[in-house]
Amino acid sequence: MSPMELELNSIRLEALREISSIENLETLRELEIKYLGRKGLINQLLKGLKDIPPEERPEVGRLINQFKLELSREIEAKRTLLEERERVKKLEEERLDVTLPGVRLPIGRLHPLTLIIERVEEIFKGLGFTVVEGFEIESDYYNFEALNIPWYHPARDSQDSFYITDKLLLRTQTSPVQIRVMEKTKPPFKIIAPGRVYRRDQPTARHSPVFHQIEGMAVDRDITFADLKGTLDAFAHALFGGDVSTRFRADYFPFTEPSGEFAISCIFCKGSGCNVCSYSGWIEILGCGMVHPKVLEVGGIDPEEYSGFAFGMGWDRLAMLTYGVNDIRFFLENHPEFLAQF
Amino acid sequence: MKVLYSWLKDFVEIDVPCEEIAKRLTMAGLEVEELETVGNDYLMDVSIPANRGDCHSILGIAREVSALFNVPLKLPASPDFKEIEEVIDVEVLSPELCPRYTLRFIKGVKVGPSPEWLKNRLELVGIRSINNVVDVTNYVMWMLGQPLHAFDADKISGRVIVRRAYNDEEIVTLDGETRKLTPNDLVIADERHSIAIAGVMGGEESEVSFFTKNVALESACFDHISVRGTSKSLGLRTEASTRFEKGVDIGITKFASDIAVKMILELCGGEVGKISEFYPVKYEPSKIRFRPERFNKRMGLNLKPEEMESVFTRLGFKVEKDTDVWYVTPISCRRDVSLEEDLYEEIVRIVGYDKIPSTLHERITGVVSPPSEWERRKILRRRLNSLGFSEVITSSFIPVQFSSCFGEFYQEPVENVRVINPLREEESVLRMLLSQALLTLSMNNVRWGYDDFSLFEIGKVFFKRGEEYVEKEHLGIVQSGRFIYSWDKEIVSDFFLVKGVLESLFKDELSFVPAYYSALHPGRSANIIYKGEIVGFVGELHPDMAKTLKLPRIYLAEIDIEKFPLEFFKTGLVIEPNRLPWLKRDIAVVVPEETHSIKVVEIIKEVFEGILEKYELFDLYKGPNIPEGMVNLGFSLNLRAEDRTLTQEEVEERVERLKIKLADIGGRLREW
Repeated sequence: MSPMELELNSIRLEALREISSIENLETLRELEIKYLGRKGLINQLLKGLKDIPPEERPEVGRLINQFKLELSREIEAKRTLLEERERVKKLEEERLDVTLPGVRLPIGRLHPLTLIIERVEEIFKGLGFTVVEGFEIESDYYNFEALNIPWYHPARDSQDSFYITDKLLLRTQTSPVQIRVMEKTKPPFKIIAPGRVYRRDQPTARHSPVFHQIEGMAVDRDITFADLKGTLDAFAHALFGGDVSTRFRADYFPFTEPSGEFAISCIFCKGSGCNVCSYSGWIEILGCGMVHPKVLEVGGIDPEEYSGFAFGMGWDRLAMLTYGVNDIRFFLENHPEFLAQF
Repeated sequence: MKVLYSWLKDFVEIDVPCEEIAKRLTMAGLEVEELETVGNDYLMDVSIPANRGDCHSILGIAREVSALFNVPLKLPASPDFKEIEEVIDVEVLSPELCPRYTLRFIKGVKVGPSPEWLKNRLELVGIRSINNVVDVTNYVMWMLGQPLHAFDADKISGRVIVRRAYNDEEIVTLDGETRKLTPNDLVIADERHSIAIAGVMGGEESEVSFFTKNVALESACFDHISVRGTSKSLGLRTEASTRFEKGVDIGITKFASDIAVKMILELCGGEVGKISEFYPVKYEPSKIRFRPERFNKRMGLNLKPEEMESVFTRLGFKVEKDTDVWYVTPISCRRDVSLEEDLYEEIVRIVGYDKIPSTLHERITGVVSPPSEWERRKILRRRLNSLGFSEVITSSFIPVQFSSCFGEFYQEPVENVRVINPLREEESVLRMLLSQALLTLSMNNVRWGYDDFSLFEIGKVFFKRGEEYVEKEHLGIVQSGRFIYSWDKEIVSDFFLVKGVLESLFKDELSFVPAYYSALHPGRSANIIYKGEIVGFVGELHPDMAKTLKLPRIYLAEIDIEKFPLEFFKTGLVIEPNRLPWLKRDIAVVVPEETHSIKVVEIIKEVFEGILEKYELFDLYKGPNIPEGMVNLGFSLNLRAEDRTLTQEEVEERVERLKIKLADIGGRLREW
């Protein structure tokens, strides 16, 4: 071997040793520059060719190129190895404790009274009813007089009112909407009127001075009491399920004649008797009847030509039954633990 | 009204278990609320509807049972007894309040305890036994529904006068209370002074006691409205007043008196004088037109005329039949039956509501869409839900201390709506803004240990403007504490979070201008403007107020949603997506720090008009590299022309114009 070959070989061995001892990509890059860079050892060796005898040049040149190729391959192999090692290490570093809790994102919820009324509205929409709303500050006329409840009527006792002035009060029932609709609308019409009502009662688990009702009314030619029954049966089955039984019994309201009370078989005990239905097996849902001829007349509708039915139910009460709520005051109290369940 | 089964059977021939009777009565509108066994008898507690005054008696219930079960009613025969000549004269000065009045003198009674059977019956139905004379009056009242009153006749001076009370006239009633009366009240008086409040309660002075020798027995019919008024104004309800205000059968006045006289003579001895009676206009129930065909049509039934007639007969009503039109005369105690429809109810009540089929009205009325308020509310609720806000529904009443809170919102003088007869302070003032209720709710939440909440309410607010009472629908939002959180990050509620919610809901069509609210943080409150009008406000609760109310920092917003038509929220005609690429351009603007960012936005919008699709403020910076008193705003702009690909030159030309415009407000563009 020529001295040149000997030198080349020792450089080669040194380079291979260096490569094998390298542990990171940065050092590998430095080594790559040191040997293969523009001013690297290989290039210097190639430059040195001009100083050796011309007959040896091709052979030495071939050896240098062979060395260069080998070195590139070794570096590349090492790089692949180091990169792989780094990738594995990085993934390891990114390891999470997957048992840690997730980010608390808020869920927007609807109030139970809203859930109920949207359901009720949907049911009645399917029966051809639309929604109408009235005023909460009403006149004595619309709340009582027009509904066949003159000032001396005993029915006023159970509806002790909050008065704003002599003649204005917070409506005690949604029924005034009946009059307002009749005054504005020519029959036929079918409406439900959900809304807030007020009674001057001490708050208890069953009574709240502020509560809600859903009024219903249908006026057309030839509307019958049987239609009232059919409508309410359909409603009860849609809301409480097809297996509930329904019951109509006579009752009294000044603004309907005949009047009735509508009950469903107790959804809690299936009619066998429990404290929700006071061991009667029946839960009263609403009051109803054929619109009183005097009320139709007040609304400008001829009771000989038209007939109608009307009903009124406790909206809060429906929610209480649906969700098994025992205290009506929960609805306006809005306790976070109550609302979080809907 | 308590009804003893055995007593009921005195009046009706029935052999049905009491339970069955209770069931049928309930179905017919007389709800039996309780049925208890007493010895080998039964006691029913019947709830009487407001229109059925006639049922406040055993006889009345017996009539119902007779009709329901189609069994004969056993009316007691008119009693006969010997009369002596003695009479107490009666003068009725107010016939409008007393259409019928009778009085009998009973001489030489022996007042003492009642026999056991009488005491028992009274006690079972809830009446305390007093003495034999008083017990008879109560017994007959319970039996026939006619309240009676017995006076000690020796305490009556001269004739008995039925008249309106004088102004401020006083009487000591049986319960020992002194009652002050007005001319709206009817009294029974002698020639000196009043001795009873008509139909409500007797006077103490003329009370029947164990020393009473002679009795004056009153049986009368008083105007129901007048008795109700007196009973209400005195706050005095008695068994008698309850019956009078629901209407007592004017046809039974004398009969009840005779029955009572007979019993008194039997139990207390004595002799009875001739009756003094005032009854100038005899009451005859009116005939009511009844059309059998119309009945079936209205009820959706198919009853035969015989079945209808049978019900009327069972109820004791007289029927005159023509072919298509009948005339039905109810009995005198059924004053609630006066219209054709009342007769319909009688029939269906007696045959049973369950006989009516269940049908759906066949005419198709079509589906009518709900009113726009309803739809608007629904859309807002859904969007707020998706933004992570939960709905609350609060009372219309608010604590008095918050009655004017945030009232600066109203640009004209308004007042709270107040209740003039509240039961408690808690129900006296109506909210004029939802924020007042949400403040109350926040206090509750914090007291219960819940500091993180994001809530909204859509509801009515009430105010008085001049003489007008106004109800409006508002949206209120309240936020406190953390909104999004975990162990390594959190987004906490602040002004811009609440503002962002409003911007999302109202599609960036709102503008916000600083505003003063005494209950809001002076530097963190704004009015919300839509189409040049103040429609709401947003802000942080004033820290002083928060401290007083023991609240953390909370943020409130309120908007009058009636200012936004439904169309505002609904999807209109769709615009096709533009598929040309955008040109993204970030710019940094340095302006004096007191400049409102909206001013810079306006300039950007103006300069890039027609090609500005979107802009976003992504950075706000003060400090090193920025001159003292200046602030750096970083905007990222998405530029795009509708009809062509934008060129860099066109954009640069606009940027040059921006530089000039910024110079006008003392700002400049910062080069990268």
